[in-house]
Amino acid sequence: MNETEFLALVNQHQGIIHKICRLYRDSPQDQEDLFQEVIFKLWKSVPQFRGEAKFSSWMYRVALSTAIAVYRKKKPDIRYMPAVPDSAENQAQPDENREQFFRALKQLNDADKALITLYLEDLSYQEIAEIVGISESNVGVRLNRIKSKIQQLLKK
Amino acid sequence: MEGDALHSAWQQMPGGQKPNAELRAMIKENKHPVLKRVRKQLIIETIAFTAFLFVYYDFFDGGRKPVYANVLLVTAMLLVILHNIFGYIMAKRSIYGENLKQSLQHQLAKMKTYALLSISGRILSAACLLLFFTSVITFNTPKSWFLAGVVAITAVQLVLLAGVWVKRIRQMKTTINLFE
Repeated sequence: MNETEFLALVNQHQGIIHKICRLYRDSPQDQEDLFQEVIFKLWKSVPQFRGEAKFSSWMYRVALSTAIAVYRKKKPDIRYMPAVPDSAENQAQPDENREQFFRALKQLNDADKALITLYLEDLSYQEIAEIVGISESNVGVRLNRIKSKIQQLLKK
Repeated sequence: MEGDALHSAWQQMPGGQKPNAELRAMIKENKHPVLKRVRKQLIIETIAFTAFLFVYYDFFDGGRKPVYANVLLVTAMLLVILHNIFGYIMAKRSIYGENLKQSLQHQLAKMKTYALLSISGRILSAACLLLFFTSVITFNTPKSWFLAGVVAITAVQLVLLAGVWVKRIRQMKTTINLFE
């Protein structure tokens, strides 16, 4: 796979890489750093991509592996705003349900985050099992537990 | 939130889209922020240590010390440089493994190797430096206590470094076990 083919495929799938970065890192800067690291690792790992599996499956594996393995220092997520907002009404109101759902996902451990990401990307249990390296039945059991956990987190 | 609602919320999340030019820059080794930092550190340290080697003979009486002490000093400098080179090579290596669990296990093995080399490299480097500076000293009680203090401070630093690596390795092991 040459550079142009690689970049075309990455461009096609970069949305999911952004979501993985948002899930595994707290601050926008850390998310940007992880995104760059994932793209770099994907390119470096291209010689290992034999084309037997789908590009997306291979990409998920590398992206999730990078997100989990790359060390990040625990620091508070401090964001500097250009100006103090006048009032609560003047601030942008993100979709609260979506944000609440995402906050719940971020509270999962790294392994559960990986499994639920693959599930929400509409991969089959068999595909998830192959990407992660666990049995298909284990995937089913784990996902049921994760979904229950998310429901409980959303009720809080 | 039921399954469909979970899927729907996930699909509606903004994904982000970077232009091709930006993606192209990200795959270049000379644009990688961590590799750039390590390269800069390598260059600065190599220049600094080379300059040091030119002046240490006069400044630290290299000529009055035994040959082995001079060799040890050069070894100490080289160990630091080699450590940085090794870190650079490790940082740019690709991800191996047939699946996510295998990839993480491979990364854990890499981490352990680097930790071992980092800590043993520091120990050897410190030992070489100490041996150089103490090679022609005749020790009395105050000097012995001073040396003991230096060794103690170095040991504390090494213990802290080892602690950092043990924590990171433990975190990684815990995550891998979560996939069992």
